[in-house]
Amino acid sequence: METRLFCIFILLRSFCSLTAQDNYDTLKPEKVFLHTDRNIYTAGDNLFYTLYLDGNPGQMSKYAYLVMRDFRNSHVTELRLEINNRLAFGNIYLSDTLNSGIYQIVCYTNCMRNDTQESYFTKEIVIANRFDENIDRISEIKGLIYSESSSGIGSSSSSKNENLIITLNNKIFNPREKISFTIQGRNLPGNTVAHLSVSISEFIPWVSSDTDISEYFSDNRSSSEKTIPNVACCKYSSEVNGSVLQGRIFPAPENISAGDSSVEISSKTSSSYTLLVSTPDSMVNMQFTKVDSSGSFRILLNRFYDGKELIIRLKESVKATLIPDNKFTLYNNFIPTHSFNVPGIKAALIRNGKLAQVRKIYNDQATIKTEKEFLPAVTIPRLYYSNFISVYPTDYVRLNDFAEITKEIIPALRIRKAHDNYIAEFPSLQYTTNTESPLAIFLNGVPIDDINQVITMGSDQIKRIELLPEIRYYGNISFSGILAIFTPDLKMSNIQFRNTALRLDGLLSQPYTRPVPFTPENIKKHYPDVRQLLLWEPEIILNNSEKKQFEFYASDIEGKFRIDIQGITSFGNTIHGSAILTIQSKPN
Amino acid sequence: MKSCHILTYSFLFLITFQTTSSQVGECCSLKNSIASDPAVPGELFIFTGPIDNTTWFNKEWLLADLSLSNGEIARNRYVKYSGLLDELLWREPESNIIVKLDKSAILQFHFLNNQGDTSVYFRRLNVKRDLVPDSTEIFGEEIYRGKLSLYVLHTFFIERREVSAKNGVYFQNDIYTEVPIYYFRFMNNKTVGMKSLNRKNLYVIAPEKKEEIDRYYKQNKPGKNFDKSELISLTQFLSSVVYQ
Repeated sequence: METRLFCIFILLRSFCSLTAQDNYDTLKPEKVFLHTDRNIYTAGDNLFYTLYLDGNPGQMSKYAYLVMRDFRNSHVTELRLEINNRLAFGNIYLSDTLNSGIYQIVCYTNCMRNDTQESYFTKEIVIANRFDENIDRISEIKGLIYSESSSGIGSSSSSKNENLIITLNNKIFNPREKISFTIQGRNLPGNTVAHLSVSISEFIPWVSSDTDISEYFSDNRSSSEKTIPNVACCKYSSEVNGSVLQGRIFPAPENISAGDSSVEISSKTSSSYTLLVSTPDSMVNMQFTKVDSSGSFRILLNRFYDGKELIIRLKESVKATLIPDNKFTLYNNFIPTHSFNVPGIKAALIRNGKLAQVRKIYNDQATIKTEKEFLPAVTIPRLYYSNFISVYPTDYVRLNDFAEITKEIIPALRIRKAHDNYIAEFPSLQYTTNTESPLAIFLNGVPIDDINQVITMGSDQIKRIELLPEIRYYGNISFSGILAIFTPDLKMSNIQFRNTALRLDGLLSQPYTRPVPFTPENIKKHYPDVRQLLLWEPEIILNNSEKKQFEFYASDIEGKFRIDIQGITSFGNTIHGSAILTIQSKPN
Repeated sequence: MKSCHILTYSFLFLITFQTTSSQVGECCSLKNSIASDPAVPGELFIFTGPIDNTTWFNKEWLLADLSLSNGEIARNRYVKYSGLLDELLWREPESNIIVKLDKSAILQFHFLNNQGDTSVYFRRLNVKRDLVPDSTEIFGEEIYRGKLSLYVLHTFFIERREVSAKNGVYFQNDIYTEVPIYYFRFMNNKTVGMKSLNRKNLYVIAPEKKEEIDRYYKQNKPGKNFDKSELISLTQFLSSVVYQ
């Protein structure tokens, strides 16, 4: 009997394991891919990009993060990208002051940060500064032999499993000639809509072409290496529903009980802490979250806080260190590969610098069009809406400090002094309250510690005072009334918080931008046209059986140009194609 | 008996393990994402006197989703709507304190299950009410939403007062009766309120369509008290007449 039961137990156990495996297999890890217009830039250029996201439909992150860093690992650019229909696009202005060298672009989502940094998308680019005559940081490895196959010229579409057919109307074109080509999907599943990005840029020999999106997304190296993660390792929240602010609180030594050597807040105390987030504004605004037993907090930030100065503080009077999570922190160092250390690279970079100089002289810079801006939401997480009392102190004779203001024009509020400290309260709430929460005092929409921080403010420094002499609730936190003070400049710079507080800049998503396509009318006929990027279309929508035509103009630069198209369908299937065209003056 | 115990433990283990394993699988995606849980502002509700039980729209605390003015949705809140006060009360789950929610903070609330009815919506409206010079905010029950929408404000009035004695002590009880006020809202957000849905009042909605309204009344012969389906068909008819 016991043997039979043991067998049943084993069967159940194996069933469990299978179920667990199934659950895990159905969820694929998020991956991002960045398609850039080129690989080699000159300082002062714009880098155009389209970011693609692959993940589980309905559970994909809304935001991706892009970091560009130099060989010293110092971050040159940190951006938050907003993902719509699995992609985000835009541009990065490469400042004129950047040093020549190899830079790394790293892209990831907050969810991907739970995995190792190897799962992040990385790409190397070269930036040459036209004032650097000796481009020392990029060395040429001698002995490398250039072959067309290594650079991707010789390979045909079919050999690379390309599923996008590019048909050019010709192979060789004259400078400034109008060029057209068509694209059509091959073996795409029915009823798919693909989002593509198209780049046509000067082909630099020897520099190997990038991994295409299909190859990158189908590379399961990171996911196969990955063991089933445990819950504790998933410390970074998925940003499926919006931007997440998270971090930890470490109490000051006096808050830790004797003999506690760890820095974690004990579960008894930390879970009672409330973290408040707000921004200086003409209205009282606030979001809050409870700190968990490990001292961690996370909050889904309202879009109102995008790009604004955030003031984060603890509601409770406690000394602690607040450490917000920096989403742009990269732990692995950037060690440049030698993919750009090829013969002739220095000459190519010097030439690029000279062409950039010509473009600068003739003011031939790409005009950038903003398609969509991600502005902060206008709807405010307000603490109260109506039924408040407004007082305008400037309507009265000048009063020296807030105690005097209260005494003379705000009889509903009482300020008393106890042990050299001022205490504000609504006397009407003295006997009606069953809550121990104190009066909430706000300065320019931000909660402050107590009335002592504003006691010296005279009536000439205050624009408006709002009062709510009632027990207020905001979610499950309560206040014995609200006192809100607004100054004419809405500044918080003079306020020193006694309790734990932190100022932080809220992230704002990059706008969707694209270059305005070149037309011959944009340039005077006798001006040189030295564009190295002939076309960049960051988002093209291609229906399954559709044949899409593109037109663009060749520049005066002769040589080979590469058409590089990457994309993703609405179902997450990747799509890519490439072709080479030659621009060469034909004898008449 | 012993084998029965082993079997029970095995099943318990199965359930626990399965729950854990599914959590592991999802930890980095859905499970690890934070759902929006916006805070709704309000004021501590202090009963100044007993509220007649008949004047509550829902006598029990019911779960509702609240669409807020800032675009967020506060889900699964235990709320009670008082027709007498025209206020929405929320029971704070931790302390059971009752909070009168700020009307301006709420655009709409939806009772998830009001005695089996899942289609009870209330919407905040700005209307002009008797005796008050300015427009006021009310919560109207959404009866029909279309080109012409109909909302009902469940108001109560003291019909009579009864005196009763208990243990030799006399009490005065107010007996309330519901007097609904109907608000028709046009597409341009203009609202027209009326206490009774008689023909003459409805002429205000469509002054040029008096004949059609008369014909509708002759054909359908609605009584004084409309039920919900009659209200819907009346609004649909008026909507078709107004936006012809």
